[in-house]
Amino acid sequence: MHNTGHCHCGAVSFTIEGAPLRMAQCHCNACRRSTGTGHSVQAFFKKDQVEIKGETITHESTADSGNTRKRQFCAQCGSRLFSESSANPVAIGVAVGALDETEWFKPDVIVYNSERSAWDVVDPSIELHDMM
Amino acid sequence: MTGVQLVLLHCIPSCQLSIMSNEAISPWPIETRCTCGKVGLCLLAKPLSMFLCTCLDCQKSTGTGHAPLALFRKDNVSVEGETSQHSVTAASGSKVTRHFCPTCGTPIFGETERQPMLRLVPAGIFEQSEWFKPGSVIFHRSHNHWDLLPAHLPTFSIYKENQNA
Repeated sequence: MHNTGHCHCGAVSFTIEGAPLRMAQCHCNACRRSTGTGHSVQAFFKKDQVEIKGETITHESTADSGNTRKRQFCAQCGSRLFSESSANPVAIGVAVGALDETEWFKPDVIVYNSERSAWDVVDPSIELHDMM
Repeated sequence: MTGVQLVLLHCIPSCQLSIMSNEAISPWPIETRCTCGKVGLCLLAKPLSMFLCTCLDCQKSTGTGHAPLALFRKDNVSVEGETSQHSVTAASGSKVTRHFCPTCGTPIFGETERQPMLRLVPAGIFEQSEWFKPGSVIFHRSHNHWDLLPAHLPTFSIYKENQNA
């Protein structure tokens, strides 16, 4: 499995070799606010599967679990791109909207349903968690 | 009103003034801040329209399947703090500019050259967004199978008629 992707303006591009470790949809307040949407959708890979070219800005915050969460966006256009957590330092989350081809994507799990906005809907066939 | 809201309201003077003069029972004005707190946004009155946009530009910039957007008159959207901006020529031929926080990347608002009196605001940046009630899905032609949309909403391949944003 080989994937490519880029931000809205093209200043950041990336390639991914191999299948994702996990695919998730997250409705937590932090994901909602950082994307401006109802939820984030991410495919997680080992860092050595993902090669990134271009300049990103990283914003660090503390998750309610106490873990450090790093979110990266394009310095030029602000597109959401990657996330990392101190809970799993070998993994990187890739924003699915940044991928060029996503036919293969389907979340394994939906998390933080307890923080979901009333106007955002979920697929009832997907495993659902109130929090993580 | 909680203490937290009071602190926030003091950050954007126009929002505070409007709160003081707002006698009717209404959710407006509504205020929020970006993830890092450096940029504030205040909405002074209700939106003109609300919709979900599945265009490729919205997918790329949000990193998701669609953007939930509310369209406001420009003079009802007050921004405090510095934003970075990025402009593209959209499928409509109009120049669209997206503003975001330079420190945390939170999207703040968008504007289009074709309708300079309007601003588009992403619903996800508000703590309380019960007011957000999308009426349609636009640019459905680029919708992805993994992106679930409310089944009752009418979908438009490109724009809804009279929807020039």
